Amino acid sequence: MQTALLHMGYAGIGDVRVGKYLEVDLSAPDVESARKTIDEACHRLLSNPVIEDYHFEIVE
Amino acid sequence: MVALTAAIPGDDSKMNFAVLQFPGSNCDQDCVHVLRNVLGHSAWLQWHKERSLRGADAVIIPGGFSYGDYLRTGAIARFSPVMQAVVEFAGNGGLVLGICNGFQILCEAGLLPGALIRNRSLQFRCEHVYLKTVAPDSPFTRKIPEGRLLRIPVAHGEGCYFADAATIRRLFANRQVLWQYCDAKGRVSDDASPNGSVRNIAGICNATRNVAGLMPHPERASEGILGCEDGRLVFESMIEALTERKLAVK
Repeated sequence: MQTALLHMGYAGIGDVRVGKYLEVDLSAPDVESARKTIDEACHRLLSNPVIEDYHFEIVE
Repeated sequence: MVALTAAIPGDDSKMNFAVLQFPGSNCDQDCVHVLRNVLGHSAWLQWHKERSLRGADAVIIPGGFSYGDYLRTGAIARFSPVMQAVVEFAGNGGLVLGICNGFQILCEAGLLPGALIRNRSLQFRCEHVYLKTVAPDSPFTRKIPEGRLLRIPVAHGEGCYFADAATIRRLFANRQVLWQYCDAKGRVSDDASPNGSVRNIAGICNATRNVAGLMPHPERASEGILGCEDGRLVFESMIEALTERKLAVK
Protein backbone atom coordinates (compact mmCIF):
# COMPACT_ATOMS: atom_id res chain seq x y z
CA MET A 1 0.00 0.00 0.00
CA GLN A 2 2.87 2.30 0.83
CA THR A 3 4.40 1.52 -2.57
CA ALA A 4 1.07 2.05 -4.32
CA LEU A 5 0.64 5.45 -2.68
CA LEU A 6 4.14 6.47 -3.67
CA HIS A 7 3.53 5.28 -7.24
CA MET A 8 0.39 7.42 -7.31
CA GLY A 9 2.52 10.44 -6.67
CA TYR A 10 1.83 11.03 -2.99
CA ALA A 11 5.27 12.19 -1.88
CA GLY A 12 6.35 11.86 1.71
CA ILE A 13 4.32 8.75 2.51
CA GLY A 14 6.09 6.89 5.32
CA ASP A 15 4.81 3.91 7.22
CA VAL A 16 1.31 2.67 6.33
CA ARG A 17 -0.60 0.27 8.50
CA VAL A 18 -4.04 -1.31 8.37
CA GLY A 19 -6.06 -1.82 11.53
CA LYS A 20 -9.59 -2.53 12.58
CA TYR A 21 -12.13 -0.01 13.78
CA LEU A 22 -15.12 -1.32 15.69
CA GLU A 23 -18.17 0.50 17.05
CA VAL A 24 -20.01 -1.14 19.92
CA ASP A 25 -23.39 0.03 21.27
CA LEU A 26 -23.43 -0.59 24.98
CA SER A 27 -25.88 0.15 27.79
CA ALA A 28 -24.13 0.60 31.12
CA PRO A 29 -24.99 2.34 34.41
CA ASP A 30 -21.89 4.56 34.26
CA VAL A 31 -18.74 5.26 32.27
CA GLU A 32 -16.53 3.24 34.58
CA SER A 33 -18.52 0.04 34.20
CA ALA A 34 -18.71 0.58 30.43
CA ARG A 35 -14.93 0.96 30.36
CA LYS A 36 -14.49 -2.23 32.35
CA THR A 37 -16.81 -4.22 30.09
CA ILE A 38 -15.20 -3.01 26.85
CA ASP A 39 -11.68 -3.56 28.16
CA GLU A 40 -12.53 -7.15 29.02
CA ALA A 41 -14.26 -7.71 25.66
CA CYS A 42 -11.23 -6.30 23.83
CA HIS A 43 -8.92 -8.56 25.73
CA ARG A 44 -10.96 -11.74 25.43
CA LEU A 45 -12.37 -11.50 21.92
CA LEU A 46 -12.09 -8.28 19.96
CA SER A 47 -8.29 -8.34 19.85
CA ASN A 48 -5.67 -11.09 19.98
CA PRO A 49 -2.98 -9.87 22.39
CA VAL A 50 -0.35 -12.03 20.62
CA ILE A 51 -0.55 -9.96 17.45
CA GLU A 52 -2.67 -6.88 18.21
CA ASP A 53 -2.83 -3.87 20.52
CA TYR A 54 -6.04 -2.02 21.23
CA HIS A 55 -7.34 1.19 22.67
CA PHE A 56 -10.86 2.47 22.97
CA GLU A 57 -12.88 5.62 23.61
CA ILE A 58 -16.21 5.83 25.37
CA VAL A 59 -18.60 8.31 23.71
CA GLU A 60 -21.86 9.06 25.48
CA MET B 1 -23.57 -38.36 4.13
CA VAL B 2 -21.64 -39.74 7.05
CA ALA B 3 -23.84 -41.11 9.80
CA LEU B 4 -23.26 -39.87 13.32
CA THR B 5 -21.86 -42.40 15.73
CA ALA B 6 -20.09 -42.46 19.05
CA ALA B 7 -17.22 -44.30 20.63
CA ILE B 8 -17.24 -48.08 20.24
CA PRO B 9 -16.66 -49.41 23.76
CA GLY B 10 -14.62 -52.50 24.31
CA ASP B 11 -12.75 -52.67 21.01
CA ASP B 12 -9.19 -51.60 21.77
CA SER B 13 -8.05 -52.04 18.19
CA LYS B 14 -10.38 -49.29 16.94
CA MET B 15 -9.63 -45.71 17.92
CA ASN B 16 -12.46 -43.23 18.20
CA PHE B 17 -12.04 -39.81 16.61
CA ALA B 18 -14.37 -36.86 17.12
CA VAL B 19 -14.06 -34.55 14.11
CA LEU B 20 -15.43 -31.16 15.10
CA GLN B 21 -17.83 -29.40 12.77
CA PHE B 22 -18.37 -25.64 12.95
CA PRO B 23 -20.46 -23.52 10.61
CA GLY B 24 -17.99 -23.09 7.74
CA SER B 25 -15.84 -26.20 8.36
CA ASN B 26 -15.10 -27.75 4.97
CA CYS B 27 -12.48 -30.45 5.53
CA ASP B 28 -14.52 -32.29 8.14
CA GLN B 29 -15.86 -34.98 5.78
CA ASP B 30 -12.38 -35.55 4.36
CA CYS B 31 -10.99 -36.24 7.84
CA VAL B 32 -13.81 -38.65 8.69
CA HIS B 33 -13.33 -40.39 5.34
CA VAL B 34 -9.60 -40.92 5.87
CA LEU B 35 -9.91 -42.09 9.47
CA ARG B 36 -12.86 -44.38 8.81
CA ASN B 37 -12.53 -45.63 5.23
CA VAL B 38 -8.80 -45.43 4.61
CA LEU B 39 -7.44 -46.28 8.06
CA GLY B 40 -10.37 -48.36 9.33
CA HIS B 41 -11.03 -46.61 12.61
CA SER B 42 -14.11 -45.01 14.09
CA ALA B 43 -14.74 -41.33 13.35
CA TRP B 44 -17.76 -39.10 13.56
CA LEU B 45 -18.74 -35.50 13.01
CA GLN B 46 -19.25 -33.59 16.22
CA TRP B 47 -21.43 -30.48 15.92
CA HIS B 48 -19.98 -27.44 17.69
CA LYS B 49 -23.05 -26.99 19.94
CA GLU B 50 -22.42 -30.30 21.70
CA ARG B 51 -20.73 -30.18 25.05
CA SER B 52 -19.71 -33.84 25.22
CA LEU B 53 -17.02 -35.54 23.15
CA ARG B 54 -18.95 -38.85 23.38
CA GLY B 55 -16.03 -40.90 24.65
CA ALA B 56 -13.61 -39.94 21.87
CA ASP B 57 -9.98 -41.09 22.13
CA ALA B 58 -8.81 -38.10 20.08
CA VAL B 59 -10.19 -34.89 18.60
CA ILE B 60 -9.56 -33.51 15.12
CA ILE B 61 -10.32 -29.84 14.47
CA PRO B 62 -10.55 -29.71 10.69
CA GLY B 63 -9.88 -26.99 8.16
CA GLY B 64 -12.36 -24.54 6.73
CA PHE B 65 -13.57 -21.07 7.47
CA SER B 66 -15.35 -21.41 10.79
CA TYR B 67 -17.86 -18.59 11.27
CA GLY B 68 -16.73 -17.12 7.97
CA ASP B 69 -13.41 -16.06 9.52
CA TYR B 70 -15.26 -13.11 11.06
CA LEU B 71 -13.11 -10.84 13.24
CA ARG B 72 -10.05 -13.15 13.03
CA THR B 73 -9.63 -16.73 11.84
CA GLY B 74 -10.72 -19.07 14.61
CA ALA B 75 -11.67 -16.22 16.96
CA ILE B 76 -15.38 -17.05 17.24
CA ALA B 77 -15.08 -20.84 17.09
CA ARG B 78 -13.01 -20.96 20.25
CA PHE B 79 -16.08 -19.90 22.25
CA SER B 80 -18.26 -22.72 20.90
CA PRO B 81 -19.62 -25.09 23.56
CA VAL B 82 -17.62 -28.02 22.14
CA MET B 83 -14.38 -26.08 22.60
CA GLN B 84 -14.95 -25.97 26.36
CA ALA B 85 -15.03 -29.77 26.25
CA VAL B 86 -11.88 -29.80 24.11
CA VAL B 87 -10.02 -27.57 26.60
CA GLU B 88 -10.93 -29.99 29.38
CA PHE B 89 -10.05 -33.02 27.22
CA ALA B 90 -6.66 -31.53 26.34
CA GLY B 91 -6.05 -30.62 29.98
CA ASN B 92 -6.47 -34.30 30.85
CA GLY B 93 -3.88 -35.31 28.26
CA GLY B 94 -6.24 -36.14 25.36
CA LEU B 95 -4.80 -35.97 21.84
CA VAL B 96 -6.02 -33.00 19.79
CA LEU B 97 -4.93 -32.22 16.23
CA GLY B 98 -5.86 -28.94 14.54
CA ILE B 99 -5.47 -28.74 10.78
CA CYS B 100 -5.35 -25.35 9.02
CA ASN B 101 -8.37 -23.50 10.47
CA GLY B 102 -8.16 -25.99 13.34
CA PHE B 103 -4.61 -24.79 14.04
CA GLN B 104 -5.87 -21.21 14.01
CA ILE B 105 -8.66 -22.13 16.46
CA LEU B 106 -6.21 -23.87 18.83
CA CYS B 107 -4.00 -20.76 18.89
CA GLU B 108 -6.99 -18.47 19.52
CA ALA B 109 -8.14 -20.80 22.30
CA GLY B 110 -4.73 -20.57 23.97
CA LEU B 111 -4.15 -24.33 23.67
CA LEU B 112 -1.17 -23.59 21.41
CA PRO B 113 1.11 -20.54 21.65
CA GLY B 114 1.38 -17.87 18.95
CA ALA B 115 -0.99 -16.88 16.15
CA LEU B 116 -1.51 -17.32 12.42
CA ILE B 117 -1.53 -14.08 10.46
CA ARG B 118 -1.99 -13.08 6.83
CA ASN B 119 0.48 -14.71 4.43
CA ARG B 120 3.41 -12.39 3.75
CA SER B 121 2.55 -12.52 0.04
CA LEU B 122 -1.01 -11.36 0.91
CA GLN B 123 -2.16 -14.16 -1.43
CA PHE B 124 -4.18 -17.28 -0.74
CA ARG B 125 -1.75 -20.12 -1.41
CA CYS B 126 -3.01 -23.48 -2.65
CA GLU B 127 -0.14 -25.82 -3.56
CA HIS B 128 1.90 -28.81 -2.46
CA VAL B 129 4.73 -28.09 -0.04
CA TYR B 130 7.51 -30.15 1.50
CA LEU B 131 7.74 -30.59 5.24
CA LYS B 132 10.73 -31.49 7.32
CA THR B 133 9.86 -33.25 10.57
CA VAL B 134 11.84 -31.49 13.27
CA ALA B 135 10.68 -33.48 16.29
CA PRO B 136 9.90 -37.17 15.68
CA ASP B 137 9.23 -37.70 19.39
CA SER B 138 5.57 -36.74 19.49
CA PRO B 139 2.25 -38.59 19.14
CA PHE B 140 1.82 -36.79 15.80
CA THR B 141 5.19 -37.56 14.20
CA ARG B 142 6.42 -40.85 15.70
CA LYS B 143 5.66 -42.95 12.60
CA ILE B 144 7.47 -40.62 10.21
CA PRO B 145 10.76 -42.28 9.17
CA GLU B 146 13.86 -40.26 10.00
CA GLY B 147 14.90 -38.01 7.16
CA ARG B 148 11.67 -38.58 5.22
CA LEU B 149 10.23 -35.35 3.80
CA LEU B 150 6.44 -35.12 3.63
CA ARG B 151 4.77 -33.73 0.52
CA ILE B 152 1.40 -32.35 1.56
CA PRO B 153 -0.84 -29.57 0.18
CA VAL B 154 -1.54 -26.25 1.85
CA ALA B 155 -4.57 -24.06 1.14
CA HIS B 156 -4.71 -20.91 3.21
CA GLY B 157 -4.58 -17.14 3.23
CA GLU B 158 -3.63 -16.78 6.89
CA GLY B 159 -0.98 -19.34 7.69
CA CYS B 160 1.98 -17.19 8.61
CA TYR B 161 2.94 -18.43 12.06
CA PHE B 162 3.94 -15.66 14.44
CA ALA B 163 5.07 -15.60 18.07
CA ASP B 164 7.48 -13.36 19.95
CA ALA B 165 11.18 -14.21 19.95
CA ALA B 166 11.14 -15.70 23.47
CA THR B 167 8.27 -18.04 22.54
CA ILE B 168 10.03 -19.15 19.34
CA ARG B 169 13.20 -19.92 21.29
CA ARG B 170 11.20 -21.90 23.82
CA LEU B 171 9.37 -23.85 21.08
CA PHE B 172 12.65 -24.98 19.51
CA ALA B 173 14.35 -25.65 22.85
CA ASN B 174 11.43 -27.86 23.98
CA ARG B 175 11.17 -29.63 20.61
CA GLN B 176 7.66 -28.29 20.16
CA VAL B 177 8.26 -27.33 16.53
CA LEU B 178 7.09 -30.47 14.74
CA TRP B 179 7.40 -29.43 11.08
CA GLN B 180 9.12 -26.74 9.04
CA TYR B 181 8.53 -25.87 5.39
CA CYS B 182 11.47 -26.91 3.24
CA ASP B 183 12.32 -27.47 -0.42
CA ALA B 184 12.45 -30.85 -2.20
CA LYS B 185 15.96 -31.39 -0.86
CA GLY B 186 15.05 -30.63 2.72
CA ARG B 187 16.57 -27.16 2.84
CA VAL B 188 14.70 -24.80 5.14
CA SER B 189 14.78 -21.52 3.23
CA ASP B 190 12.59 -18.45 2.80
CA ASP B 191 11.74 -19.56 -0.74
CA ALA B 192 10.36 -22.87 0.52
CA SER B 193 7.76 -21.23 2.76
CA PRO B 194 4.31 -20.57 1.28
CA ASN B 195 3.41 -17.97 3.86
CA GLY B 196 6.44 -16.35 5.52
CA SER B 197 6.08 -18.10 8.89
CA VAL B 198 8.73 -17.31 11.50
CA ARG B 199 11.55 -19.86 11.07
CA ASN B 200 9.43 -21.66 8.41
CA ILE B 201 7.22 -23.13 11.13
CA ALA B 202 4.45 -25.28 9.64
CA GLY B 203 3.27 -27.08 12.76
CA ILE B 204 3.84 -27.13 16.51
CA CYS B 205 2.68 -28.92 19.63
CA ASN B 206 2.09 -27.77 23.19
CA ALA B 207 4.57 -28.29 26.03
CA THR B 208 2.87 -31.53 27.13
CA ARG B 209 2.93 -32.80 23.52
CA ASN B 210 -0.73 -33.83 23.34
CA VAL B 211 -2.09 -30.87 21.34
CA ALA B 212 -0.73 -30.09 17.89
CA GLY B 213 -1.59 -27.87 14.95
CA LEU B 214 -0.34 -27.58 11.39
CA MET B 215 -1.33 -25.55 8.35
CA PRO B 216 -0.83 -28.26 5.67
CA HIS B 217 -3.65 -30.77 5.07
CA PRO B 218 -2.63 -34.40 5.79
CA GLU B 219 -6.20 -35.55 5.07
CA ARG B 220 -5.79 -34.38 1.48
CA ALA B 221 -2.70 -36.54 1.04
CA SER B 222 -3.68 -39.88 2.52
CA GLU B 223 -4.59 -41.94 -0.56
CA GLY B 224 -2.63 -42.93 -3.66
CA ILE B 225 -5.46 -41.78 -5.90
CA LEU B 226 -4.86 -38.23 -4.64
CA GLY B 227 -1.22 -38.40 -5.71
CA CYS B 228 0.37 -38.63 -2.29
CA GLU B 229 -0.04 -40.65 0.89
CA ASP B 230 2.42 -38.85 3.15
CA GLY B 231 -0.37 -37.35 5.25
CA ARG B 232 -1.35 -40.80 6.49
CA LEU B 233 1.80 -40.87 8.59
CA VAL B 234 0.40 -38.10 10.80
CA PHE B 235 -2.83 -40.00 11.49
CA GLU B 236 -1.00 -43.31 11.83
CA SER B 237 1.31 -41.72 14.40
CA MET B 238 -1.72 -40.68 16.45
CA ILE B 239 -3.26 -44.15 16.15
CA GLU B 240 -0.03 -45.81 17.29
CA ALA B 241 0.22 -43.45 20.27
CA LEU B 242 -3.42 -44.07 21.20
CA THR B 243 -3.02 -47.83 20.91
CA GLU B 244 0.00 -47.70 23.19
CA ARG B 245 -2.00 -45.68 25.71
CA LYS B 246 -4.88 -48.15 25.70
CA LEU B 247 -2.52 -51.07 26.21
CA ALA B 248 -0.76 -49.22 29.05
CA VAL B 249 -4.09 -48.75 30.86
CA LYS B 250 -4.78 -52.49 30.77
